[in-house]
Amino acid sequence: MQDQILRVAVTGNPNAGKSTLFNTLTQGREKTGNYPGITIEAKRGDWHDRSLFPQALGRVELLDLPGAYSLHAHSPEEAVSYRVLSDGAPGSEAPQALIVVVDVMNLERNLFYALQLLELGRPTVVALSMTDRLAAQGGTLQLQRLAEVLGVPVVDVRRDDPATPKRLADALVQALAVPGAERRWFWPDAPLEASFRDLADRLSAATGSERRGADGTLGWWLSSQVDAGELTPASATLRSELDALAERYFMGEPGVPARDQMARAAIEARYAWIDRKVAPLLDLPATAESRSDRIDRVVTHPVAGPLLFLATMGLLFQLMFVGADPLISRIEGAFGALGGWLSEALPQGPLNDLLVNGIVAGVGSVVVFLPQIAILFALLAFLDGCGYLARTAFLMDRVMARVGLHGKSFVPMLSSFACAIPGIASTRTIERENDRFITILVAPLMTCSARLPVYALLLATFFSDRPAIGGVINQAALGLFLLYFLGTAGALAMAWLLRKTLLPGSRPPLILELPPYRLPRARDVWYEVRERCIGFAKDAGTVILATTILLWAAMTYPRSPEVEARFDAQLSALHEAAPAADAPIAGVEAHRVQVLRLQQERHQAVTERTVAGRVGNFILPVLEPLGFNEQISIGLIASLAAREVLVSSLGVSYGVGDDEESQGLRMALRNDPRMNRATAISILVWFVFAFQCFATASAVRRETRSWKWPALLVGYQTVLAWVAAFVAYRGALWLGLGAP
Amino acid sequence: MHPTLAQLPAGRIARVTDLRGCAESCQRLMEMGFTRGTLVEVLLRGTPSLIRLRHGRVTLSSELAQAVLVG
Ligand SMILES: Nc1nc2c(ncn2[C@@H]2O[C@H](COP(=O)(O)OP(=O)(O)OP(=O)(O)O)[C@@H](O)[C@H]2O)c(=O)[nH]1
Ligand SMILES: [Mg+2]
Repeated sequence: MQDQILRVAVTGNPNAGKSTLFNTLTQGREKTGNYPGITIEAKRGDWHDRSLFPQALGRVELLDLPGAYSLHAHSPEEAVSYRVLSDGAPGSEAPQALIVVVDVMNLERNLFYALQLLELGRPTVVALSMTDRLAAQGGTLQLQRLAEVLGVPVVDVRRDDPATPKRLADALVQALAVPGAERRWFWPDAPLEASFRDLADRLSAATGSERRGADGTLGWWLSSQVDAGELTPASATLRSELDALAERYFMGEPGVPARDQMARAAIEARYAWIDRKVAPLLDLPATAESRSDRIDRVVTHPVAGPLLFLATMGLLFQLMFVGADPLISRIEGAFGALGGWLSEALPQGPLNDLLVNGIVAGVGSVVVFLPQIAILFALLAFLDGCGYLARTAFLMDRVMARVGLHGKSFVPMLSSFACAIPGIASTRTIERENDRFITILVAPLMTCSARLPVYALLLATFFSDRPAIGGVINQAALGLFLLYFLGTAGALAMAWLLRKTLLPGSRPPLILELPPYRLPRARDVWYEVRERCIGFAKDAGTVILATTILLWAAMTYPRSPEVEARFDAQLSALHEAAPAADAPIAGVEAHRVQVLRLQQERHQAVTERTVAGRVGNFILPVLEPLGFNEQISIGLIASLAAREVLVSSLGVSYGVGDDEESQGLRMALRNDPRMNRATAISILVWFVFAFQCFATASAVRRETRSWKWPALLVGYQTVLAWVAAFVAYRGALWLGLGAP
Repeated sequence: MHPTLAQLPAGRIARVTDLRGCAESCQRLMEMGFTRGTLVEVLLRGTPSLIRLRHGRVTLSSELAQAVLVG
């Protein structure tokens, strides 16, 4: 039976280990991490080992859902569980069975959501995660008894145990075998239960919806909502019926609406049940202070905490320069050799030029930065995995409060250090819309990895030969730190401005669970780094390659033979006049510089007459106040395709494809008399703020469901970039950094 | 009048007695385990504060810590 599908949802509290289990079962590679809110949309995958199920069941499709504390959602990401459980994932049907992942280290609190799901009355298996940690802490759980009181199979889904899929599959088959699966009710008292049954019967008769109405569970869990609201809408009939019921039973506390009282009663009834039936089954020594608490004493300390955060970032940047440098030089050398070899091996002509000065020079200049990208992602993956992300939300809460947001908004901003697009998507963990929109609109100001090659190139070219500060701190690393800082400060300032103007609101309250620290598994970090590096290389091979070829064409045609001939004549004259090999060093050197100058002048004169040269000249008046020359201006336009293209376009325009002995592009930039530290600073500041990524704009459009916000983003980023680069350039000139 | 979680000195263990004045967030607090009778301990006082709740650690901004009455 090919078209038969068994849909099974994997759901549970945030950070319970759902994606880890999903990956085990599907042999997939969904992102996991030690932060509540890593998965933000439903992911589908097939149960890998079909042989574990009877043939008749057909294909087993698993759904990895974002975590939820309750079916009553508080954030868009949490509402996904509710929607998928009631209606199915987009383009699919509601899941027939559930795997509820329960973290044994937080058994009682995780079971609250599990009970809500048991009330739905669908075939359910409870999957216990983190059992290895329970054992490590000397705890025990009476698993068999737990299954008895819950009335559903309970399975230990210990990670790294090859028998886990089999155990879980057997339990699932067992749960499916129970005819009209036994449903559980967790009522505060009997009269209320009777009323609910009555309500359920009437509702199912009225709406004819058997699945939801017949067991009245929808009514019951909706009863635990203060206001069903937009995220988990309920029918008007249901709502008014529930209100009437609440009025009848909950008159107790004056001043508290009956509906709130009913909601609270519903929650407390479940916890009371858990305390009575489940708590005695768990023996987990309540260590007064866990290892995590001890680490937190330092990490969340008001003074030590922020210092540690800055130190971590500082170390990252230092590593990116000092650690990556040897590798970078090697890759540079390899590309230079490749270009040199190609230009010798191929006959002179446009193909030779395209390969050497277009592709090798352009793409090569970008690929060089792979080691730095790898270091950045390794560190971010480590921070994700160990649990530090939640601590940054905690630490930054005070800072974010100043701009009217809460600490959770900082986490999407921090993930934008990798790329703004997943950063923007991860704002779905933010409860209120205005807060979410502000975070979305400022996340693109955080320095993403695509800016890194530009930063690294300019910093390495103009700042890294300066003496290290105090003998340790590399100036380029410090520069990088300042650029990241500038982007972050800009994002905070914009957030403040947006809060005061377009997206007003009070400061949202922060509720966030801090997971215990865990040492990330090496393979999790490795997969993440590998994925990202492959992604970077793919970009270099597609978007960047294509843009580079276009750029090469635009910078090469139309050709101007007379100009070329004139310079060539001058050059050969100069070569004739070369001093003898045994002439004084100074003379040889002076001659070499003369040749270099002339070569560059030739290059410029030729480029000026090409398509790109003309376009560059056209926009130059707007960019000249920022100290940009035509090459940079062309690069800026081209970098709208991808930021890294600035680097490849400079590679092409300085024609460094077959440069073997010098350090390629860096040397060419240093030798250009129109480039100096002031222009470098100006370009860097431009890159910190400018809008350069259409994929980001479309992500903003998707998340805000309007073109208004991406338009605003483009507008404010452009203005901000121009003004900031202008100020920085003038400031740098004033400080005397304009000297070559 | 009961003191709130925000007033509880660090290291003192107390029971939640009620939640006041935070309708929507109060419900979330309860769903996460701040139900009446539950033992809690303030691990770190301040804004935000860090609370031990059953076997977990939850951080709350001060307005929420003030909404949780303890005794
Ligand atoms: N020791 C241990 N760690 C686990 C286990 N399962 C998951 N983890 C870790 O727990 C963390 C959370 O795992 P995820 O699979 O991302 O959790 P999730 O439920 O998908 O989380 P969200 O998507 O954020 O809701 C990760 O750091 C995992 O490596 C387990 O059985 N034992
Ligand atoms: Mg997940």
